[in-house]
This record gives sequence, structure tokens and C-alpha cells, in this order.
Amino acid sequence: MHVKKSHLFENGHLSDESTTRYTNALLEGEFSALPEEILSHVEACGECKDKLLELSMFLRNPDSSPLIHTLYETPLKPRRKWYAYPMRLAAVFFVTALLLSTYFFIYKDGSFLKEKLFKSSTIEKTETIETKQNRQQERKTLQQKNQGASDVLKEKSAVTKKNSHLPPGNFRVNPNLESMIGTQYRSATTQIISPRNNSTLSGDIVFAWKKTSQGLPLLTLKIINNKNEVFYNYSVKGNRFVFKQRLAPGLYYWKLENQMDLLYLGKFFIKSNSK
Amino acid sequence: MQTLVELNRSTALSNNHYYTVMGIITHELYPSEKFPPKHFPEINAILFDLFIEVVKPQTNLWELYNSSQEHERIKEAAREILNFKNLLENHPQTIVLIYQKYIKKFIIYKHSDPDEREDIFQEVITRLIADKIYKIQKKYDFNFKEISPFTSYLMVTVRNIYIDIMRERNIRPLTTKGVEEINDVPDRYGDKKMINRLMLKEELVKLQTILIMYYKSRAKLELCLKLKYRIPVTRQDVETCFPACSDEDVKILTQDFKFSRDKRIFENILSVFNHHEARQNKSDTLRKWINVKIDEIIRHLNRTHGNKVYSSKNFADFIALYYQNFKGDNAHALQRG
Repeated sequence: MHVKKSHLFENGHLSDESTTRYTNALLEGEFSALPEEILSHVEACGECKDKLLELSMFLRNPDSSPLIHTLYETPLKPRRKWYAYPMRLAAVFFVTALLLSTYFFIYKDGSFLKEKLFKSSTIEKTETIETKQNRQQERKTLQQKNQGASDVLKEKSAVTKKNSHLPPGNFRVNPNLESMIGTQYRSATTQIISPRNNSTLSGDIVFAWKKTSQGLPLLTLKIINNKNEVFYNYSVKGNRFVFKQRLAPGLYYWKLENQMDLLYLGKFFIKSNSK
Repeated sequence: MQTLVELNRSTALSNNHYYTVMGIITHELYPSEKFPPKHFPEINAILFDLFIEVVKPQTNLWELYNSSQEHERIKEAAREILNFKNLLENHPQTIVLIYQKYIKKFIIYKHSDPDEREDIFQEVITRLIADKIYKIQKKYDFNFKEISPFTSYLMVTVRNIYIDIMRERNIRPLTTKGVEEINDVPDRYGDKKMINRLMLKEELVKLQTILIMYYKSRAKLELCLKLKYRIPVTRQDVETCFPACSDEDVKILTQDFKFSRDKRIFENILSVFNHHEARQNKSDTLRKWINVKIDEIIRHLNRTHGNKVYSSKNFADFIALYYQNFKGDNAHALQRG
């Protein structure tokens, strides 16, 4: 029996004979004997391609099972070469640069992160409480006591610490602050218990005072180094505050203020082995 | 019937001519290279039984068979009775019996639900024996003069019967019901990596087959695929696509496009395509053409799995892998077995 003149069924797809011939051509890799009509039809027809693919794959390996077919979920991925990821490479570069700069900012320069990490969450920064008006009031008070000190205070930030690594000579007295030592302002309301002036301390520092009149408002405790730089700034309720952080050896001043006035200015030393 | 066959066999087995007939079957007519025992386990027994059945009613031949003489005459009779053409013309049902296991493998290949497989297989065999094998008998073109085309032809018929059954029962083929069996595979087959390699090879051959079916546009398709996925294009690729290409054309098409965008690539190469195809297309036409072809290829690949295994993202990797594995002439990879 010879192959029909038309190689297609009435529905326009390959006849069984044509399908057989094409399948065998796929298996043998020999297409020269196939009529043009079959080749053109398969090239254009997705349905016939599916049919031929299925038959040829089965005939090539009849032991291929659906188990393996379902197991095969994703094709194995080859490793792409580096240049396939220019954007990713740039992103990695950027992130690395960011991490390095952060590292140098935090660890090389110093104190920023330390202060952030060690500060207790119960202690709020005074920056949020202090108003510009308060600062102006403070400046006015200090100007009255010591005109020279006011120029220095104008330039100092109320919150941020500047430098935790003090240079040599950090035991030198500050003449501007020294003149105010021991002066207890508004002494009718507050009496200082500790630390005593000129005392040498180590370990935790207990700041304590006693109220002598009506209830104390929210007070501000400032620890200042001998260069008149505010190191720590706490808002304190009650009449006692324990400072648990470690200070570098040197001379320090401490201020107790209310919203309006400076209440007390004292000084203490930190021993060399206190760190 | 079965008892008679067994009786025939037991009588015949004691005869010297048994080996003569079996020799004709296994060495001449149905060698194991073409009919491997793993696919056709019963073939020798079925054919020998048929031989006895045919010979026994013929008194002269039967006496000759029992006489243990005239080997050549028995050989001739075996060739005449058991040759494939005679089987198809006079004993088509025997052919169905021979191909029984092969057909079962096809059902397993097609249908993933193990509960339904046996039922479908029985139905396919019934329909073949009752009706379809006689249609094959009438239609089969013996100009093929080969056994393997018959296997293909039979499988085309089996596939049609299978699809008919699916439609009648309103079952969707290639379901993913057998997914729970996946866990058993590594134990059953041993090395999972080996399975992956085998599967990958099968997938690559699948892709190759699809590309071949784009018979006329295959060279253009492969060239554009390489350009799109930044796979280095060789001079041979260009010459296969444009036999009359110049050095300048080769230079344009083989340049490094690693860092170029698709649009830029197709703008650069458009002049070559337009020149050789005598067209005035825009670069977008070519870019869209290859995108459509990629979608088609992905759809064909996914259809063989019954679900979306391939996407435009992983297809890029798959193509790269394909060209790593099939460099140069692919014809060898297509050879059967």
C-alpha cells in the first residue's frame, strides 16, 4: 500500500502514516525522504509537534516513566559567569563599601555606637525636654557667675558626646568651672550628699542629693570633662542616680540643674585603674 | 486453547527441530537487537507456539517436523510462517501479543495514575485485537520494509486509542497524581545524581527534537537563540544560517554582545538578516519573532511534563546547558538507543 497523495487528515493534521514517517525520521536523523508538505506542516503546527515529540521520546526510551517525569521539576542550572550579574556585582560592592564606612565610623572614630549601646532605655535624653528657652536661661545664669564661661558654653552641644578618648592632661583643672565649684545654688531646696568634691572614684558612681523643700521637679544631671565638654546628660527623677558606665581616668565636673536654674556644680576624679 | 498450546510446546520441545525453529526466530527474523527481551520478553515462546499451531494441521509438515530430518525444509517453513509480513497479514493478533509489554510501557509513559493504568491497558489491548489491528493490517505500508516503522505506526495507533479512552472517560491525561511516589525514587534507583543526569539528558534530547522540527527555520532559530541568550556565535552558525554570508556578516554576528541589551543586539544584526532574507523588517520584528518561538518551545517542553516546569527565566539556563552539551553536529545524539 502506498502513501496517500495528501499526507494530512481532513482535520488538517498529519495522518497516521505521515506521523509514523516523521517519527522515524526523528529517530534516524534522516529527513531527506520526507515530503515537503509534511515538513512544512510540522514546522507550523504545534499540536503535531507535541504528538511527534511524545512518540519519538517514548520510542527512543520506552523505559522512561512518568515517575521520572514528575520528579523532574526544574532543569539543572549551570553557574552563570560573573559578567551575567553586573547589577548584582555593583550592589555587592555598594553594600561592602557601606559596611566598611560604618565600621570606621563606629569603631575607629569612637564613641557614637558605644554611647548608643550602653545608655539605659529608662533614661531619656534631655534634648527632648530642654527647650531653647531653658538653654538661654542657663546661659544667662552662667554669664552672671562667670562671663568667660559663657563664650565657651555657647559652642557646646547639650547632647552629643564629642570624644571618649581624652588626650593627656585630662587631670588639669578648668578655671572657668573651678570658680563655681562648691557653690550650691538655690540651696534652700537641694542638699548634695555624694559624690563629695575632689573625691577620687572608681566603679559605679552614686549621685545623691536631698530635697529640703517641696517635691523635686525633673532634674538634669550633666557630667562634664575638664574641657567643659558635656559627656553625659540625663534626666533624673527622684534624689539618686547611679552612673554605671566607665569613664576614662581624669578630672570630671558634674552639674545638677532644674528646668530654670543650675542647682549644683561639683567635681570628682576617676582613678587610672578605674577602667 | 492454552492447554493445547502447552501440550504442543511440551511435545515440540522434545524435538530436535525446536532448536532449528528457535534459531530462525532469534537469529534471523526477530534478533534481540531489534526486539530486546526487556521490551519483548515473550516473543520467542509466542512465535514458537504459533509455528506449532500452524504446522500441526499440515500432516506432511508435522511428520517432517517430528522426523528430526530435513532441517532446511523446517527452516524454510519457519521463515515462511513467522516472517513479519505473514504475521501481520495472517496472524495480526499474535503481533498484539508480541507488543503487549511495549504497549504497557507506553501506557505507563502516558498515564501517571497507577490505579487507572491496568484498566486502560486492558481496554487498549481489547480494542486492538477486536478492531484496530485489522485496520493497521490494511493500511500499513510495507514499502517501509523495516520493523521499526511498524513499531512507530503501532504506537501512533495505540496513542489514538488511548486518547479516545481518555475522552470517553473524561480523564485528563498526564495528571500529577503520582507525585507522592517521588520519595521512593532515590531508593529505588540508587543515585539521585544519576537520575538527574539521565533526566537532564532526556530533557536536552527533547529540546533538540523540538529544534529539529523547526525544519526550515532551525538555523535562524538557533542563531537568534544564541544571540538572545549571549551564547557565543561561531562562524559555522552564521554559515549554516546564511550560506552566502560575507566576512563582514560573520564579523557582525559573532561580535561580543555580553553587555548589550536585547534591543541593541537585534538593531546591530538586523542588516544581515534583511540583506539575506531580502526583507525590510524592523529590529523589533526579529526580536518579537524569537520571543514567540521561545514561548512555543517552552510550551512544548512543558506539555511533556503536564505542568509548568519551564519558564522564560530557567529556559535561559537550559539553553546555555544545551549548547554546552550539544556542540557541533547533533545528528549522532539522535541515533536511536
